[in-house]
Parts: sequence; C-alpha cells; structure tokens
Amino acid sequence: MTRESEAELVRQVAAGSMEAYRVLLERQLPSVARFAMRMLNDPSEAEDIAQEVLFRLWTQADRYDPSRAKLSTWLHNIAHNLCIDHLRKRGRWHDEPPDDDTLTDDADPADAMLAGIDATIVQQSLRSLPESQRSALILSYYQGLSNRDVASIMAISVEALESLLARARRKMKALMQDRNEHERSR
Amino acid sequence: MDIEAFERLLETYGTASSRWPAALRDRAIELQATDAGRQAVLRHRALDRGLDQYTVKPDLERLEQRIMQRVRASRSPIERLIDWLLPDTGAPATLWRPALAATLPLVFGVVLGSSLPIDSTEDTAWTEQDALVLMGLVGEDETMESLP
Repeated sequence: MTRESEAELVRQVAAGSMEAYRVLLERQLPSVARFAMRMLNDPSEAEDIAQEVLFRLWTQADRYDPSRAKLSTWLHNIAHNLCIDHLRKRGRWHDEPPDDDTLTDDADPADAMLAGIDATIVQQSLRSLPESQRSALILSYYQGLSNRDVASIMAISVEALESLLARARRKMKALMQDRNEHERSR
Repeated sequence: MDIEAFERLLETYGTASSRWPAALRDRAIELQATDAGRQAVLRHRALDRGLDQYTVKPDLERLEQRIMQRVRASRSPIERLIDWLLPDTGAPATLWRPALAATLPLVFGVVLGSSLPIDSTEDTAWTEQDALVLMGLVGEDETMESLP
C-alpha cells in the first residue's frame, strides 16, 4: 500500500467510513499489538494499549498529517507515549541509569554463551534494559522502523538513537549471556 | 564507509541488511562481501539470533473484535441505524451516506405520521352522545334511520 493510498484511507476514516477503518485496522493492528506486548511484557495491558491506539485512529484520523510521517510511525508514536505513561503510572519507567559495568561483554568466547538462548531469557533481559534503550531496540530492531522514524518517535537525534542502540545491543548481549550462564549452572 | 564504520553499523543495527539505514546499505553490502566484512558479521550474528528468539503472538482476532465493538459503540444512534440499513461498502458510500443521513428526519416523520391512529369520526361521524341528544330533539314520527 502506497503512502498516498494509505492517506486516502485515513481521509475516508475521518469522514466516517468503517470499511476504510477496517482495512487500516487489519494492516496496522499486528505491529502495534506486538510493540505494546514487548514494551509492557503483559498481554492484557498490551491489548488495552493497542486497543486505545487503534481507537484513536478512528477518533483522531483528521489529526494525521501524511506529509509528516507514515501512518505506522504516527501510530507507533501514540503507542510509545501510551506505554511510557502506563509504565510511569505503575512506577516501572525510570530515567536511564548508568551502564552496569559488572556485566561482562566479551567478544568471541562470549558468543558461545549465547547458544541455546530461549525467548524467556531474551524477554527477561529486555525487561532489565534501561527504558530508553528498550524503546530504541524494540522500535528499531523488532518493529523495523527506520532510524529517522524511531528518532522522531523518541524525540531525539539520529546520532543519539544510534548511540542508544549500540549500548542497548551491548547490554542485551551481556544480560543474555549472564542469564544463560546462570540457567546452565542451575 | 570503511570496515570500522561497517563494524559500528553492525553494533548498532545488527546483521540484517534490511535494518541498515538506506543511505548506507549499498556500501555496507559491498563491505559485507569482503573477508573482513564476513568476520564482522559472524561476530554479531549470535546476538541477532538470540534476539530473534523472542517472538510475541497477540490474539489479533479477539483484539480486532474488541476494537470494532468500541468503534461501533462510539457512533451516534443515527449512524448506527444507517450502518444497520446500509452496511458501509467503501468509497462511494462516503458520498451518499451523509445524504441518506439528511433524509432520515423526513423518513422518521413519515413513519411517525403513518403510525398515529387517524380518528375518522372526529368531524363527520356521530358520537354516541350526539346521537342521544339528537334523538331527544327529533319528533316521535321520525326514526333513527332518518338521521344522517
């Protein structure tokens, strides 16, 4: 779907077309729902957030400006803000702490420690990541948004985003190795 | 871009070229094909494989139903009536559905008007009371049959 046809569908949604809304819903919901699940780590809370995001597409379609962002970026922006608000309300969102130097980040030998990693270890490690690093990694790596889109959503420069991403990946590697080693020694 | 910059690219975006910034992608793919590039990719691939283990599967069907339910509930009664009468079928509908909405008060008026009982005896027919009064007024030789 081109950006123009997507913008046309949003215009129809703003005019009250449920048919156009359904097309956009089917297209955008999977990505938004997965993003919320990774950010919140709670399926029920993630569903509420995803529902709210897509409902806003219905109620606020006239606010979308296709010249400024792709629809998916606009929706991820709303989802990101809602997730942060949600985590803050529950005291689960904090400013980024300094990197934990006690975690190891060896190169090649440590890669072997990543063998046999399972989803639970990745999930737990992701949860332990400083929040801005987690947002950057999820939006960029898992959601596949461009660096400019992610920087725009997080209201930071592309350079700052790249720095966050590099630190996030290093930290993830160290966290996953640590947890994997711990699991193996049990 | 040199091999060090390529290594930084991998540290930042991972080893899948689809995730690399479009502006750097072509040159990065060239470097990826070199020996040093392949070594760099190997150093970072394990992390990507680990990250890829984490997949999530939301119940999209149920979620979609919940959202559509909320959207329908948010509509005005008139819009819901139009939805019921004429399901939305795409772009042309966005043009004539407002026109249909505008005619609804008229339709409502016609339906309301036709549903009210019409009292046909109001002006022309005799009520029982009228008949009794008239019977008292008419002469003895006149009968009820002569009354209109």
